[in-house]
Amino acid sequence: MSKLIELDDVQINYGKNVILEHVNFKVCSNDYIGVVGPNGAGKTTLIKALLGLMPVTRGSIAYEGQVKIGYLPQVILSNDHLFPAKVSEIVGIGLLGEKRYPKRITIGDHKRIDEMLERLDILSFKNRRIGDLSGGQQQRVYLARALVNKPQLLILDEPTSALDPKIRSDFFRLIEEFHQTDETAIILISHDMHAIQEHAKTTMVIERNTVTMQRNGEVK
Amino acid sequence: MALISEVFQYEFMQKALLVGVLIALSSAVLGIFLVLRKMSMIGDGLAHVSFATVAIALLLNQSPLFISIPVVMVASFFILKLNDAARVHGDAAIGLVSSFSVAVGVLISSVSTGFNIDLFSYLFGSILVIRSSEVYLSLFLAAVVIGTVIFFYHDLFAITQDEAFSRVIGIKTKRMNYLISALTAITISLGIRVVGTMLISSMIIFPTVTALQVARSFKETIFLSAFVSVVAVVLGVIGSYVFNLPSGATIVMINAMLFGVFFLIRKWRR
Repeated sequence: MSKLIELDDVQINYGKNVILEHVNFKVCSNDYIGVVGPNGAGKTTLIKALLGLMPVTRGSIAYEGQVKIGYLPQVILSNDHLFPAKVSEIVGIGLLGEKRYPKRITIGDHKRIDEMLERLDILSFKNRRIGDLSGGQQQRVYLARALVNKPQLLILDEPTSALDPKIRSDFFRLIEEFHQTDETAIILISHDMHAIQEHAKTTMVIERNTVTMQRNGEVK
Repeated sequence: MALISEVFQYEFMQKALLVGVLIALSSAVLGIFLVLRKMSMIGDGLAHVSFATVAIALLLNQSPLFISIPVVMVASFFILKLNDAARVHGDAAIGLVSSFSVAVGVLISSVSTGFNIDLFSYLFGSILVIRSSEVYLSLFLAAVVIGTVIFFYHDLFAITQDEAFSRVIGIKTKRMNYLISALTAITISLGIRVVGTMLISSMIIFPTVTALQVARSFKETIFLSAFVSVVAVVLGVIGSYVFNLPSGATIVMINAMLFGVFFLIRKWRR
């Protein structure tokens, strides 16, 4: 169980407003952390800081070497039916972070893309336009994009908010599978308390500007 | 038919077609990134800036291309900066810069005498007076635009698809935004001779939107858009000679017709 990320007394402000303060926690290789809290509590802000999309005002976020992070955002901006990209093109984006210029998607990369699509049971959609797929299928494509690079940590921000209950439970089962077999650490933001209690080992509660960690079972 | 074969015998027509095809290719490879990122209007805003630069160039008796490229590029960066630093929304930033530029152009042309006819040809495009130096510069700049897009293709595709994810995987998204702006500035400046400052933004928008009607992948959209763009320019330039029409407006009309055809193909496919 190796440490991936450690936050030490982190404070994050939006202008003069303190969003989060005194945040201390570690993320290790076998963690599955469910993040809960009321709307506007700072869940997405914390995730953005972990991803380096937002600066911290005070304290530090330390990464153990080059931590590979996969990310499934809350809203996919190009998620409109006119966006002219094939599923394989979108999943290939997940491999660009490890490439040097001139970046190329090689035959080997296509093999990795196919393997990931097969694992997520969407290989038959490889050449379909993303906009022609259902919400659940699209979500699997974006999960494939996040996982194709074999990340050590997968961060999911409200990944199932637009999905129906059956697809939602299949989705959480898939995440669990990656966590178990690939030892991918998971940070999952979700309003679905049932899913968090069922799958996450730890629940992170964000409220009143700070973070508390509870082992699952202690959350009421 | 004899009239069409006659077209290719004149040196000015050869230059117009060559420069036109270069603009068609540059704007088509760039268009998809602007259209899908909802940045189409930056092309329109920068075209208005190029109007001011044409007035300045005519006042100084210089080639507009040499003045337009640096000024339009600075304006494109300024629009991005306004957006970032001054908390001005993208469309408002474009509106500010473009209306200011048109005002500059109008003021210069109203206090100067003798170049208003020239200015009109730059507003709506003219194929008659393309200098050899402009042809060479167009060749070089089109190569720069197309080469840069090919080199950074995967990063540009990624930020178009999902900018936040692209930042997470380490793509320098801010740098890419400036790159797109710089390439747009070059393409706009290239187009003012043949298509004109008022219509050049259509070269960026029309072919991409036309290709989007039927293309099934991102790459296919770019290739189809380039094809549509070249066809529109070639037919437009020839048509403007044959029917004695302004080249820019003729190219836009052909583009509009092609859009109609592709729109119907999409409807028919369903």
